[in-house]
Amino acid sequence: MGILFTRMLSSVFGNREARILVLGLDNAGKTTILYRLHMGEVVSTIPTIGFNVETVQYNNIKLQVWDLGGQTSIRPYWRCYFPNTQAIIYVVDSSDTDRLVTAKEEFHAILEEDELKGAVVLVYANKQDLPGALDDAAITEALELHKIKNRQWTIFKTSAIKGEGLFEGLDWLSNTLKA
Amino acid sequence: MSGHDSKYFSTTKKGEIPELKEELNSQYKDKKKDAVKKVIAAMTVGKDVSSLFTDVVNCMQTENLELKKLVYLYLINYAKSQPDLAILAVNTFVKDSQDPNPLIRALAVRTMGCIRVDKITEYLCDPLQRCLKDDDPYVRKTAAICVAKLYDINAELVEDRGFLDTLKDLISDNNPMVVANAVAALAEIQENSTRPIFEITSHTLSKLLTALNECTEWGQVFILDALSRYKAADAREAENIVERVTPRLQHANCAVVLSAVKMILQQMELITSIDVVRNLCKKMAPPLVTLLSAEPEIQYVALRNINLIVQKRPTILAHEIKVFFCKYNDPIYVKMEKLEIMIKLASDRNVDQVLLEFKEYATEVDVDFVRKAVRAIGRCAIKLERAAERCISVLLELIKIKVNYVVQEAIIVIKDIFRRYPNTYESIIATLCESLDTLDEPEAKASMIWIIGEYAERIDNADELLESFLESFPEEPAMVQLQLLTATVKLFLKKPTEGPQQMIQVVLNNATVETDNPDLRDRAYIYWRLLSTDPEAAKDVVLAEKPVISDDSNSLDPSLLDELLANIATLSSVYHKPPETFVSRAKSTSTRQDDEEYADAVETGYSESPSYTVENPAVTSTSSSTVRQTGSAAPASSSAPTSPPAPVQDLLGDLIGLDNAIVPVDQPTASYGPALPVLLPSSTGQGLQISAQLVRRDGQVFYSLLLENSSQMVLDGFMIQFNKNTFGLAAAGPLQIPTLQPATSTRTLLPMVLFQNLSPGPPNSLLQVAVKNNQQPVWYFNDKIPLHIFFSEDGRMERTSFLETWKALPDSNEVAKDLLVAVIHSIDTTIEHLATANVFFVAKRKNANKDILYMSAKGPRGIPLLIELTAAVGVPGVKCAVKTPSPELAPLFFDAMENLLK
Repeated sequence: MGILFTRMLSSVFGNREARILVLGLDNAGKTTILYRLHMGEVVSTIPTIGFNVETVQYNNIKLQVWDLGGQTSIRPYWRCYFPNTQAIIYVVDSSDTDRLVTAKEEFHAILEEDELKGAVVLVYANKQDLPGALDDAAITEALELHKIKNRQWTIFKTSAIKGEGLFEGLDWLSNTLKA
Repeated sequence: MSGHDSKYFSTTKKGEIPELKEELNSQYKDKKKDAVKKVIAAMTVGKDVSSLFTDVVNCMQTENLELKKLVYLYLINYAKSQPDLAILAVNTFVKDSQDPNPLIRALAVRTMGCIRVDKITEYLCDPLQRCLKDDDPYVRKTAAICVAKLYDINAELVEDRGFLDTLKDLISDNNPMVVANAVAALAEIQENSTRPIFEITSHTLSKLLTALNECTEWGQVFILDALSRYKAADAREAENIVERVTPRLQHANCAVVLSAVKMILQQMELITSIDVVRNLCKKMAPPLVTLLSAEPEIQYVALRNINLIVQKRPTILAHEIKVFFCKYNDPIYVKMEKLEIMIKLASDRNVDQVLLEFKEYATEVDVDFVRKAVRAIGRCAIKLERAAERCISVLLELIKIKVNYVVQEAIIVIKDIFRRYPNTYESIIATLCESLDTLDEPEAKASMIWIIGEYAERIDNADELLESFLESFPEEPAMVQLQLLTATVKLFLKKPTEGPQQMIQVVLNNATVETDNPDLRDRAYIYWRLLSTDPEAAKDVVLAEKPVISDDSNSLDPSLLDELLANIATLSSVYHKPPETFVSRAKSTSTRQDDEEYADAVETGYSESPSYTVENPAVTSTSSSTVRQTGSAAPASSSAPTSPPAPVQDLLGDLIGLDNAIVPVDQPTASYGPALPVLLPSSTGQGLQISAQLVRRDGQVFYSLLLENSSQMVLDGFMIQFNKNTFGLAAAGPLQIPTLQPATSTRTLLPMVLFQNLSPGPPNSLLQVAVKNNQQPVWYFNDKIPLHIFFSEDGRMERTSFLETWKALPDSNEVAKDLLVAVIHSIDTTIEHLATANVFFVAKRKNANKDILYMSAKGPRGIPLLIELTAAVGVPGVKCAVKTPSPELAPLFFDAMENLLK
């Protein structure tokens, strides 16, 4: 009851909160994206053993963004963060064609999760600045995004280093979440 | 039962944990913080909130220092129980160790060190490395301690990452607290390592001495402890160091004072100038005296340390004996220690004063204290020849008070005084004899009887006096019996008249026929034979000159004393025991190896029974007293045999009764006996290691088990279960293992029964065992059943019946195998060796260069096994053939034979 009430209130005042997970294989650029969104600059990162969490204010939505480590050893613990998640940002290294299959498998495994049934999905085809990076269509194909049913999703070409495409994605996300 | 009953199990009411979980995930910071506080509160009172691990860890990345500290506290507590999830905290540690706030950096590095989870230690090395070189001294000093913690978790990692060198660099740090902590960390690491890691050079020496004056009191203790291990190059350097440290003696903190004293004592060894030494001694006295005005607990620690110091350098406190006089309201433990030191400081100069004090103490109410005071008088008499007479007169005065325990104690010490000053004070014997009837303690009785026997010629009614004791001879304690025996013999030798002759008959009869005590019996027999063969020789032996005694009780062996002095201001100097005797962690690896070597050396023979010390009360207790040297003819009272020969062991094994030969936990048996194979290594068993083997003892099968607890937990409630197996082996009773404290081990013999839970199928040797306790999950491990443990003692066969049985069995029942690793070095030893395993020799013959042995054994269910061994002596490879009604056992049999002939 209480939660519902606060939600209604905050929607009246146009200030909503959402919990968002940033997932993806290791070295996809998740942490860089998080800090690009949070601080607007590129920070030097090391592999995330664990998680980072920051709040990003965008379009009247307060996004609590959780960046989870993508290493094989940490992926099993992603599920600890699934409850109450409104959106998933799935980051793919578009130049790492060898591991696209793994990225696809992990992606579809996430979508199977009961606790993420209501979450919308935003895919970042990241690292577009690198030569040989696949474009969004190719990534859509590789991740078999068309198989997604009963869920809102979209894909954006991004480059976290150059800051391209990230906020277009957030635009989509904030609009979708407000709706 | 209808399906509706399920509603009783589903409830709408949420438990505390789900409620907390919800609050932890709240978007409101205040609610979150409150929730974490609730979790910590629950944790503190002992509720298990480990299931909230991820939810709490998710609160870790916060600006709020209070919240962060709470989460860190939670992590320290539960990381060990959630080792997999602990990895989620790593990134936050890494971030926090780079936080602009030095408090947070230090907090992160301190918490990291407290999380003892192998999986994440490696990730924490980089942040630690950074923090060791941090700009802020507070972070550096915290990181220094963290290295020592990490070393305890993973020593190799610390060495590989070069942390030790970084730590050594920190000794030259410009901040004294960093220096002190680096020293503390290095000293701690050194204690757990066998290699030299921390050695002070002349360069670091000056750094340490500078830091000493500037750092906190506890930092000073670390530095002083390190300095006391430094070996100065020469007397000059030692003097310089001491000079720099002397001001520490005035410090208000007792730990600093004691550490400074320790350090000065160590360096004084090198100082040659008598003036300097005398000067230093003078300087050390006042601070030591000051320690005695602190609380009683601190007084006690100080007294124990002073006890060591005065043994090494009596001059320091020679003039201060008055401060050791007992106050009426001192606790008893302080009084006892003060007495000890008073005896050590007593000299011709102060003995009058001291005796007055002792006499006063001897009239107090506390029995133990009074006894000790009386003994103290005696020890003064023995120590100070010129005071002996005054001591005697004080003792006589005390005897006149006629307080029972004072009299008895006085008689005990007077006996020692007689030994020390023969033919000087015998005039008082008459007074002593007056108190004869009141004696009821064994030691006092024994002392009095010794006096009567020793001076029988001067005591007119010595025979009557002794006779009065003889009536109760069988009921007396062994100590008194031994003295009675010797005293009667002395009396007889001194007065070979009719009375004593009758007495000696009675005594010898009692001591040889009626007694169970082997010491008494042996001593009586020796006297008997001496007296019956050559009474003159008996006189020479029994009445021989005795060596004069000196007061060496309660003083320590010089090498031990030096070791303890090096450990002043630690528990070791309070216990008066070297650290390795009560700290099990230190250098445990090296002792472990010794044990294994020892175990290998005694492959055969067993000692499951407790290590026996043949009790000899007459000998064991008194230290300087004469009781043990009653004449030179006391052979039986030589100290207990430490390593009895093998047959005695067997005999004792029988006596003890192996059915319930369950070794108590405090018996130091763990290091003895043959090495058992390790079946559950401690790495698998969360610190519990189980070694076990099936053995046969006295016709019964036992499971010999060794359990070692290297975990941090107390383990109890042990149970054991065996899976179905070919021979149906099962435990005959419950596993009797007492509570297993951390870092202890216990051995036990579990009686086994056969044919209980038989498994179908062809015979195999697999034995699956499960062991559980109240603290850990159930452990499963596999063992092998060696067939020869079933060979029964009655398996010997006559030649004729062997032949008949052999012929009666069809040839198809004969199986043969070449045992390649087996070897027969000598026919006779092999036969002997096999006989101990109940494989009995029947006949042998020679064929070309080979020997053929025929042997028999009786397997489980009485199945006969007829064996033919063919081999060339000394050449590896034995052909083994077996003929039996149950040839399916043959593979197991060959395994057993190969084992036996290895």
